[in-house]
Amino acid sequence: MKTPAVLRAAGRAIKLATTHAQVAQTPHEVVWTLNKAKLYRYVSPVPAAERHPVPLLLVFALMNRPSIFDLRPGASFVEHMVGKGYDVFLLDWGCPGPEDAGHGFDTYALDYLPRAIRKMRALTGAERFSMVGWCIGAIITTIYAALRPHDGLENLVLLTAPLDFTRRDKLTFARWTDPRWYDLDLVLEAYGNMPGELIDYGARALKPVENYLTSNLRIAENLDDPKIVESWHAMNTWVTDLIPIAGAAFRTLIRDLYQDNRLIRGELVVRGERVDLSRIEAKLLTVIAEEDHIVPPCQSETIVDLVGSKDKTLVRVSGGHIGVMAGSGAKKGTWPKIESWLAARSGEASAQPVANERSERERANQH
Amino acid sequence: MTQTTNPSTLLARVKGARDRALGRIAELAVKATESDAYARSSGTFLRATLLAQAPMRRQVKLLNEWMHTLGLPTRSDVTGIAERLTNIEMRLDDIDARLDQVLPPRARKGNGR
Repeated sequence: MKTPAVLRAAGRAIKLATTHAQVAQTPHEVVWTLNKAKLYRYVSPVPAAERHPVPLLLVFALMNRPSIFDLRPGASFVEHMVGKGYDVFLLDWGCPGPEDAGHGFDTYALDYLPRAIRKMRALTGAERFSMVGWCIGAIITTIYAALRPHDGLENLVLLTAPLDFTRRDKLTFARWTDPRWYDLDLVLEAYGNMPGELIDYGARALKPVENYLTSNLRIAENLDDPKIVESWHAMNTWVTDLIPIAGAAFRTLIRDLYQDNRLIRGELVVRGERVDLSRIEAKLLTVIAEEDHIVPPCQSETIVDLVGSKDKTLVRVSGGHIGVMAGSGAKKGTWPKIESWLAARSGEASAQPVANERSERERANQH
Repeated sequence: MTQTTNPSTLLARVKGARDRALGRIAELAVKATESDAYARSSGTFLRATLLAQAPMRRQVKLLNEWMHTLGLPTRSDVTGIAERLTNIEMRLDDIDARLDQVLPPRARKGNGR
């Protein structure tokens, strides 16, 4: 007996929603680990002599996996950049357990990130490097860039960076985490780390109808289109692979940033050091997604006026918080913009250390 | 005389109407979740849920103390070991850094990449 078409379609939809697509397929090797963190280096198809001498490090947020940088073949920023001759590294923070609840932005920006960078520089022999930080990854890279301005960071690319929390009227997350009704201490006492499921609920609740209903309707109507199905399956795999945020980092995110806006006001103190954005000297590219409802443009615009960098660029691209880098338009929109900006700043001249920086480092090593 | 309507045109109209309705509902839903009232009620709900779970957390705490009294390893003992392992890993990473200074990995690997 033939199964009715509606049942067959329902079966396919259920299978899609409950199985995992293959993501992060660009060939790579693990070159460094610390606790749950891993540093990947991607295998380049471009001969070493033809590659850009300045390596590129990708840093994603603390929630969700960094595989969004390498979603699937043909739709992967990593694959794109590797193909353009970059020596690409990706830092995966891993999934924090209860024992990591004390990991704050200080741990990530001053312990894990500098160590991963050291390994990357040792492996490539490059004195200088470029770094891309996305979402909370952009907060961590900004803190690092401000606190370690002479550590070889040549180019800093910030993607949809939540740095300025001044415009509370535009920040739904700020309203939800208002201290008048959001008991942060109780949440962290109960969970230790902030559960991925709660973060995911928050992100989806910003646009509840689109996230819970419309997107499912769209895929149900396009089950016969392999391109749409493949793309949706990969994205759904990434979206549902949730990881928690370490308790201490979540506390800083809510209390110091969402509630007190300390970073942009120059009052954020990380392990005893004040994060002074004017100390950032790296060339800066800030990418703003115009339809971003998670990190509205007003959160990423002001950084350009506050950094000490002489070379700074602000680019606006069409798309949402994730779609801007992993959507169907990213390949012709965001990626070429980032790549051409980096290409102009990743040549031989950029790879050489500045004389006074080298002597500063040598002095530090002697002590 | 009866007029016949193409089924595909009819379906397209129904879908169009549905999409317009969903678009309107989506706008209203966003307005609702952006409001102070939603923020206050979700905060209150979360607080009430977590407070309701508090007796369970107290039981776990008591169980931990009881295990500690019996000399059995507790969750905090295990997390303490994990933290110490991470510290050891950091020291190993420091040694790796020294090694890389003495003999760069590019030289060790023969720059084969």
